[in-house]
Amino acid sequence: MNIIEKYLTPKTDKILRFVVAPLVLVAVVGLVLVGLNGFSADTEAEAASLKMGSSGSTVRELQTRLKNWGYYTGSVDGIFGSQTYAAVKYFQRVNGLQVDGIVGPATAAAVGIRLSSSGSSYSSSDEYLLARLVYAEARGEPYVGQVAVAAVVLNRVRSSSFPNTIAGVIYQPWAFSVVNDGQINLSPDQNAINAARDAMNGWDPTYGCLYYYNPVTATNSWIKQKPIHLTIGSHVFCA
Amino acid sequence: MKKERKIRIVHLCAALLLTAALAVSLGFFADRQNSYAAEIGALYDAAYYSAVDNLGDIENKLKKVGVATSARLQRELLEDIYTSSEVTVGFLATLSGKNDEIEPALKFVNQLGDYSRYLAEKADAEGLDEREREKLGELTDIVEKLNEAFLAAGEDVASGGNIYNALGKGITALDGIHDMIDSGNVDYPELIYDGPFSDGLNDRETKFLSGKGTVSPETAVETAKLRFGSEFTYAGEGTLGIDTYLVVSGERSVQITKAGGYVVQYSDASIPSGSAYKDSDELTASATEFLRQLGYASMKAVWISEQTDTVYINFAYTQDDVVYYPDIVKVKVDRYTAAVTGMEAMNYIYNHTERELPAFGPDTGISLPEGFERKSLVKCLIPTEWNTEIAAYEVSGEYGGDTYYVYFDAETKNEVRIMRVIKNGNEGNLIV
Repeated sequence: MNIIEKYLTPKTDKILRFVVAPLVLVAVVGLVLVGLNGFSADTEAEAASLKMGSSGSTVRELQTRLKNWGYYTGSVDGIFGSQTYAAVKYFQRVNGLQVDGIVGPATAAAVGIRLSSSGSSYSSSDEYLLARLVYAEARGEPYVGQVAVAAVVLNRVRSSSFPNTIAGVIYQPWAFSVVNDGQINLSPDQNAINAARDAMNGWDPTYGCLYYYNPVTATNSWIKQKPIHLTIGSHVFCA
Repeated sequence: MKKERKIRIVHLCAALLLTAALAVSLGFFADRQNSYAAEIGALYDAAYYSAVDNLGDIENKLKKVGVATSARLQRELLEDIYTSSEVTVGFLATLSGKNDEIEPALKFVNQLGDYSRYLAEKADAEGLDEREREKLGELTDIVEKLNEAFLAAGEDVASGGNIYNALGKGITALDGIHDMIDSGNVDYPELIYDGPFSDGLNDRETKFLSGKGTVSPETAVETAKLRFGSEFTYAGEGTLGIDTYLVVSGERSVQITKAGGYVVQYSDASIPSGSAYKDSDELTASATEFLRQLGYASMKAVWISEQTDTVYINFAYTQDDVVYYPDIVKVKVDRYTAAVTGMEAMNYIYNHTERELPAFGPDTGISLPEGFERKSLVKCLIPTEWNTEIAAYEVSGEYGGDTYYVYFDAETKNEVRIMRVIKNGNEGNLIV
C-alpha cells in the first residue's frame, strides 16, 4: 500500500471532494479577481500623470495655475521642463503632497486640473473635491446638512490645528472614513456640488465647527466627549 | 476498484494543486502587501525627516531674527519662517493620523507661521520692539524643545522599522511634545493667538445683537412663517459663535438668532424652474427687497458672481457714501425666477454696529502703475486678518487686460491690499 492509498480513505475522499476542493476553488477564483482588480487600478493610476517631458494643453493649464499662485515663474509654453518640475515640487511641498515633481491624481486634484488619460469625467477643482467629500459623507442628509459638512472642511483649513489646504484636510490620514473606504471617489450629484459651492461662498451653518459625527454609528469615544453645538439631520457638529 | 482509486488519486492531486495555487497566491499577495507597506512607510519616513529638517530651519532662522537689526533682514527671515511653517504643517499633518500627540505640534507650528507673517509685515513698516523680540526668544525655546522631541523620536526607530509604525504604537518622545505644548508647561506668547483664525475667534462678540432681547423657539418658528409664508417646525439650536434656532419646512431651512430674532441664514434647496434668465438689475432688486424685509437696510450690492443658474450677490452696509465691507451679507438668487434661494448674514451679525464716520484724507497721493486704467474710486472700511478695520480708498480699474481692485490706507495712502478678478470659465468670476 503506497502512501496515497494509506491516507486516501473514503472519508478523506469525501472531505476532499465536498469541502476542501470547493473552498480552495472559491478562494483561488476570489484572489485572482481581487488581484486583477488591483492591477487594473494600478495601470490607470500610472497612466494619469504629467511629468518631465510631458507637453500639451494640460501642461499649459498646469503652468497657468501655478503661475497665478506664484509657484511658477517660467513661460506658459505647454512643455513640462525643469522649471515646471521645480514649481510642481514647490507646490507639492507647500501643500503637504508627496514631493516627486510628478502630477498624479492627488497633485492634479490639488492644482485643480483634469488629467485626460484618467478616463473619468470629473473636474478636479477644489470645489469638486469638496463636493465629492460632501456626497460621500452626507448624501441623503438635508441640503443644509451637506453645506455644514463642506463648511467643517473649510473651517479646518482655516484652523491652526489642521492642514492649510482643502486637499490637505480631506486627505489627512484617518480624518474621513470615506477616504479610506474609497467612497470619496464616487461622482457627486448636483446637490453636493451646490452645497460645496455655497460653503465656499461663505455659508457656514455651523459657525466654526471642526468636527461632526453620526451619534448612531460613531464608535470614537474621544469625539463623543466634545460638546455638541448643532444637530442637522443625522449629524451632530462640535468645535 | 482500480478506476475508483484512479479517480481518488486525481481528486487528491487536484486538491494538492489548488492548495499549492492558494499558497502561491497568498504568498504573492502578502509580498505585495509588504511592498505597499514599505512604500507607504517610506513616504511617512520622508515626511518625518522633512519635518525635522524644516523645524531645524525654523529654529535657525528664529535665532537669526534675534540677532538681525535691519528691518529688511528681519522681514526676510520672518517670511522664510512663515514659508517653512506652512511646509512643515503639511508634513506634520501626514504624520498626525497615527498619533494624536502631533496635533498640538501642528497647531503650534501653524500659529508660529501666522505670527511670523504678522511680524514680517510689521518689521517692514516699523521694526520689531523689545517685547516682540522677547516673544520670539520664547518661541525659539519652544521650537528647540520640539526639535529635540522629534529627533529623540527618530532615534527610537533609527535601528529599523518605520516612523509610522512607531507612531501607531506611540512614541514616548512624542508624548513629551503634547505635554510641553498642550499642558501649559511652556508659556505661549500672548500675541500668537491674535493671528488669523485664532482660537479666540469663536468667542467673538456679535456686535449687531448686543443688547437685544432673547426670543423663544416658538417666536423663531412664527418669524419664519411670517417671512417665508409656510409652516416651519423647530429642528434644533446652534450654540457656537452665534446662538441660533434652526427651523425647517421641506427643502427650506432658516437659522434665526436667539437674540433679536434675526434671520441669519436662509436656504431654499428646491429646484428652480424657468426658460430664460432675468437680467442682473432684476436679480439685484429682488435680493435688495428680500434683505430689506428681513431688517437689513442700507445695503448696497458690491459684487456679483454668476454661476450657471445662480448668482451670488454680496451686499455691504453703506452710509454717507462709505461702504462698510465688514458688514457683508451674501444672497443667492435663482436666475430664472429672481427668487432668493439663499442668504447668509454672519459677518453682518458679528460686525455691524453704529460707528463714527472714519477719517478720510484727500484722495491725492494714491499711486497706481503706469497704464492702470482707473474706473472708480470708493471710500470704504475693510476688515483686516487681525479682526480689526481700516478706512481705505478702493480704486478699481483695468491693467494688462485684467480687472483689479486696489485698496489704499485712507490716511497714509499706502497700498494695503490688491485683488484681481479671474474669469473662471462658465463658473463665474473669482476674486483673489
